[in-house]
Amino acid sequence: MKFLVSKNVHANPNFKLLLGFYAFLLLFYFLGDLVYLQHFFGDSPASILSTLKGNEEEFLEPLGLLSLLEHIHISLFLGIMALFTTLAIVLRLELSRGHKGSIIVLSMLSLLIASLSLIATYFLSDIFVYPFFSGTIIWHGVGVYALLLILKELLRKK
Amino acid sequence: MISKKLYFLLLIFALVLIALQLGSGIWLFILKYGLSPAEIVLYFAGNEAEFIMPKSFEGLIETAVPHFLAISLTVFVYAHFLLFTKIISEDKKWLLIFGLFSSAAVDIFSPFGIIYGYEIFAWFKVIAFWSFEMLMGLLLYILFLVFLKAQKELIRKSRR
Repeated sequence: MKFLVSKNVHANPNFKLLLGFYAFLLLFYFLGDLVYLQHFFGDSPASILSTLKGNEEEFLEPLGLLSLLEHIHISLFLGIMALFTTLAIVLRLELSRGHKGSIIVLSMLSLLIASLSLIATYFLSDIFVYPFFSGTIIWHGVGVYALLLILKELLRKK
Repeated sequence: MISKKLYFLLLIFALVLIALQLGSGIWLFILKYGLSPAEIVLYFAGNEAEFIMPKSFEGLIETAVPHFLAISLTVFVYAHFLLFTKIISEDKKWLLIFGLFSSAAVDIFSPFGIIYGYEIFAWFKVIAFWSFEMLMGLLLYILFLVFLKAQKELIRKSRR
């Protein structure tokens, strides 16, 4: 995968600057997306269910399938691109294979599970709201962790 | 040294996730526009008798602009892996890449033709959309085969 000009993140000062700012600003994507999701769906499995299926007591209309699909279509694309580029840099870090592998599996699998669970919550059962909720937190959390590792490696003197 | 196994793991996940993204796009297309050119004309050009408002130029731009970036980026990121493979000939790679970009362009531009009264663009949109989805499917299938083959090769080498 030839995304980066060098396999060494310390190759030259400008390369470090580029990766550093990319990682720094992408941190705001992961954190900002969580804030956006909290506004869109709510901050608990119960409020996510209210948004998706409506709530008579609170006079909330259920979310339309079109709106849900539009949300998945956009957020999945952004999630894939953010994680894919972050993990491409993680592969270049001086970490153990197990550590890198865990970051890849945990983040990508949680994104996949979260996306599928959201559809399953809407169509199948309320129980799927839990994998959606936890999957979303995990892939954002691992994304932030990976970016912090990248920044730590870049700031380390070599 | 970067582990090739980790590379393949990341790439396989990326293929599965983008396939899901394509699936959501197909679902949205069918739900929003329908399957036939007549339904597409109705959606974009509207119908006074059925009280369906025609879509505005600004409304179309709002959808078209992010799609220019998103589709170009997706095709670029995924199709560039094709350049490192020998599974299909260079001519076929050229055809696949050309087909992906041109069908995406026709798909995105067609609604503008429809709102200005050229109903033939509904046909162009249907054909371009399904061509793009099938070509993306083909690209992902080819890449999946390549990664699978390379993974098997790695396992065979490590056993020796």
